[in-house]
This record gives sequence, structure tokens and C-alpha cells, in this order.
Amino acid sequence: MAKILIIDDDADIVEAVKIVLESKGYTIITANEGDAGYKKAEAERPDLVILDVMMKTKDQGFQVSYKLKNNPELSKIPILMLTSVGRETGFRFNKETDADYLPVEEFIEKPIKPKDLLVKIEKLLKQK
Amino acid sequence: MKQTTNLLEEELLQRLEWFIYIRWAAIVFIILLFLTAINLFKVILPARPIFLLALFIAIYNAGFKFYLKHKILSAANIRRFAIIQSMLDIISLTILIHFTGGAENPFIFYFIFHTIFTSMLLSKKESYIQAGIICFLVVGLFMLEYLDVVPHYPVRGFLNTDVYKNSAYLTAISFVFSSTIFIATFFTASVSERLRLKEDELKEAAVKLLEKDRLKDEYVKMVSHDLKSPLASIQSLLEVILGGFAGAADEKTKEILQRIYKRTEFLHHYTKDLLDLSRIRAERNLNLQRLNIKDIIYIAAELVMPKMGEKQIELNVAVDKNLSEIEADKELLIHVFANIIANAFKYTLSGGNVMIKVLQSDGFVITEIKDTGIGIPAEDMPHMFEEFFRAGNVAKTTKGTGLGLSLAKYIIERHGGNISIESELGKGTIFRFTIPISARKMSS
Repeated sequence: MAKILIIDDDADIVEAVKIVLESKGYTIITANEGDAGYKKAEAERPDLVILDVMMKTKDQGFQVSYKLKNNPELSKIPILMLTSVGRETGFRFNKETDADYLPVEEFIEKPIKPKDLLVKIEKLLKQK
Repeated sequence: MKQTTNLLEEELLQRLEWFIYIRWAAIVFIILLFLTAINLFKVILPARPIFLLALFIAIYNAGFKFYLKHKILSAANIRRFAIIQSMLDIISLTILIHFTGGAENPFIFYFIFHTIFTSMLLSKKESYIQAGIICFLVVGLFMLEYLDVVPHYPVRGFLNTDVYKNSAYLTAISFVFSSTIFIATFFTASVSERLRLKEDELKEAAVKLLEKDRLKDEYVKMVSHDLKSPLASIQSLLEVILGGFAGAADEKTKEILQRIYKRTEFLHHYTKDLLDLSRIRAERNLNLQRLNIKDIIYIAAELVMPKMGEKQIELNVAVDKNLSEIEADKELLIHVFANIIANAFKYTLSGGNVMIKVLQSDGFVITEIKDTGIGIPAEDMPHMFEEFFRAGNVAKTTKGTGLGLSLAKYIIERHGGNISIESELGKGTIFRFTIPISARKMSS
């Protein structure tokens, strides 16, 4: 079963995502901060990364996504980005407008709807 | 403080332009008066110096006009420019007085107009120095003519005795003239100084208010963001339990959790709306790009539709085929459409329909979003765009923050358009808004 890395500084979000994904049999590894998350990605080579935007800095998630995509060994790992600023408002975190310069495959908005999360993860893993 | 000085300089610049117009009028006035005096009243006046002087004034006035049009003046330069103009006017007027009778010319009191006009422009100190220079030049002229240092040009036909040699008259006219000039300066300078202070205060207050408003928006943005994160976590955890991912919960527990979820969801929407409102209002510039309204409508509808749940509502979109692309902020425009479409759906019962019509007229794109919903009570219509306002017929029954429409209005007006509502209770509502095709029509 696929191995998924969750990088988020909000322990409750990590917990919620973890419970949902584990119930479907995914193997979960977690990191509560961007730099640690990147190291875990290097060490563990997950099949997918779930990445928060605002952590240590306002845009640490973006930085991590660039680093992952610029590492030839990790660049194939799909990234699902967690945003707390919704798609409705779109500001700076909108797939329609930011896909060109944001190297992530998919977005999901907080609060996380389990069904939505599972659909997106399955889709991303299939595409891989 | 720097800003108020700049504003003052701007005003000075405007008045200088105004002075140039007055000077053209003065030249015409001098020539007409001269022609009337010699032809109608048969007064003998030296034509050549007077016309030469009128020409001199015309030349320097044209020079000023050219300078003002082509040179960008710095603040210090504007002041210097104003003083030079004023001095040239005083000298010209003194020369004119000299060739038209000197102390015998009743028009010497026209210096008062000059004094009043320029005292409104200059500082108090400069105004008094100017009054001193006027008195010095005019009384000096009287003296020079009296002492025969310069020739006297009598106005024969008007005054046939030589008053300019009468020392008692000269003393009296010099005193009355000088005191008149100084008193006029005193009044004008005092009044205009007080006005200027008040104006400065007002401008400063306006700048402070704007800054306060921006700070408030920043504050709301920060607070609502800090509120949103924990709310999102609470909701995410509740989703996990309600979805049965953390093991089975009994029906009563589920029902209570459902209630908690609903309350949290409302709070979440509320903070999101507050966050949007303050973020958009704190944003100084629009992120303009060329857009196709049709795309915007589809993106907005896609955002709204999934939230409609079981409701069966028909959505029709009719966009004018020849519609131009518009220059607008994509995210903000999506926000407007999503908001109004969501409202139309929210307040229309199952089986109803929503119609979006877009056409172009007179440089504007006009959008009409019409629903067959519950409508708005007439007494609530004037308040629909106020922040936190909710119509009486929905306030208790449907959840909402009352921020969506005020934000939509703000965004449309930022783009230079306007929005209006038409509604009949029980029949439906039409939202109509315009957006200029080109951003040049935009308000600041």
C-alpha cells in the first residue's frame, strides 16, 4: 500500500488526515515542519506528500514544494497542498491562477472533507 | 506633515494658473480703459508707453504659461515662481500708474486687488513684505515725481491742475494708500492663514483616518486568520468522527456532533467572510488582467454548485457573443460572481431557476443575475449592501454573515462599475452590475 508523508505544523490536522488515510490502509509518516518534512521525504521516499502552506513561515509549504520538485530523485512525487485560504477566495493559492508557477499537483482546502481527500489521493496515486 | 505641504503646493500651482488668466483679463482691461479714456472722455494719455507696458505684461504672462505647462516645478520653485510673478505685476502696475498721472491717478487703489489675491497665496511674512514693497514703490514714485527726478505725466482732460506738487495732498494720499494696503494685507493674511490651518487639520485627519481604517483591516485579517485555523482543525476532526473513520459512534453522539459541526461551520464561514473583506480592502492595487466574463461565470458556478446539495434549480447563462474581454482582477471578479450566484441559489426554492445574462453597452459589460426566489422586503432594499445587514425575511431562517454583498459592491466599485438590486417579495430578485471594459475608466 502506498506510503504518504504529511507535513503540517497543526497536530490536529495531521491526526485527522492520518486517521482517515490509515483506515484505508495507507502507510503514514508525518513531519510537523517543512525542513524536517523535506528530510523525511529524502529518507523515506514516500509515494505522495500532503503539504501545508503556512508553517514556520507564511510560505514554507511553497518553499518545500520547490525544493522537492527541484530534486530529480524526488520530483516525481505528487504533492497535495493543504490550504486554509479557500479556492473560493483563491488568493495566491488558486490552482487556476497559480498552477503555472506552483509545482503542486492538487489542492485541498481546510477543513478537510475525508471523501474529498480520499478521491484526490487516489487520483494522484493513479496518475503517478 | 509632508503630505499637507505637498497639497498646499498643489493648490498654489492651481492658483498660479488662475493668475495667468486674470492677467490676460487685466491686459484687455488696460487697453479698453485707455481707449475709452482717450476717445470717450478725451483724456490725453501717452499711448506708446502704455501699449508697450501691456505688451510687456503679455510677454511675461505667456512666458509663465509656457513655463508652467512644460516644466515640472519642485515645491521650492513654485514659491519662487509665485513671488517673481507678484513682483513683476507690482512693477508693471507702478509703471502704469507713472504714465497715467502718478499720484493723480485714482486707479492706484487697484493695488488692493493685487494685495488680496497674492496674500491668499503667500505666507503671512511674504504678504507683509509685499505690502511694504508696494508702498515703497508707489510712495517712492510720488516722491520722485514731486522732486522732478522723473517726469510727471499729467492726465489732462481728467485733472487739469497739478496735484502731484501739493505736499499736503501727497502726504494724505500716501498715508491712506499705505494704510489701506497694510490693513487689506492684515485681514486677508489672517483669514487665509486660519483657513489654511483648518484645511491642514482636515487633510491630516483624513490621512490619519485612512491609515486607521487600514490598520483595522490588518487587525481583523490577523485575528480572523488565527480564528480560522483552529476552526478548520475542529471541523476536520469532526469530519473524521462523523465519517466513521475513528470507529462507530452511537446515534445520539452523532447528532450532537452534527450540531457542533454546524455551529463551527457557521463560525468558519463568518471568519472567512471577515477575512476576505479585510484582505480585499487592505489590498491597495488590483491585479488586472484581460478576462473573458464567460470563463469567470463558469468558474464561479463550479464553486457554488457543489454546495447546493439536493436543491433542483435550473441555471441558464446567456452571454453576448460579441462581448469584449475586460480588464479586471480575476480572483475578485470570481468572488463577486460566486457570491451573487450563491445568494440566488440560496434564496430560491427547489424547482426555481437562475438566469445570468451578460451584454455590452457603452464601454461597460452589464451583468444581470435573476432568480425566482423569495425576494427582498421593500424596507430592507436600501440596506442590502451594508456590512452585516441581513434581510428580515431570511435573518432568522438562513445562516449568513451579511458581508457578501457589501464586499461584492466594494469590488465592483473598485473596478469603476456599479451594482443595483431590483426585487419583488415572493417573486424574485435581479442583481445588475456593470464593469468597465477598459481599466482606464476605473476609480482610484
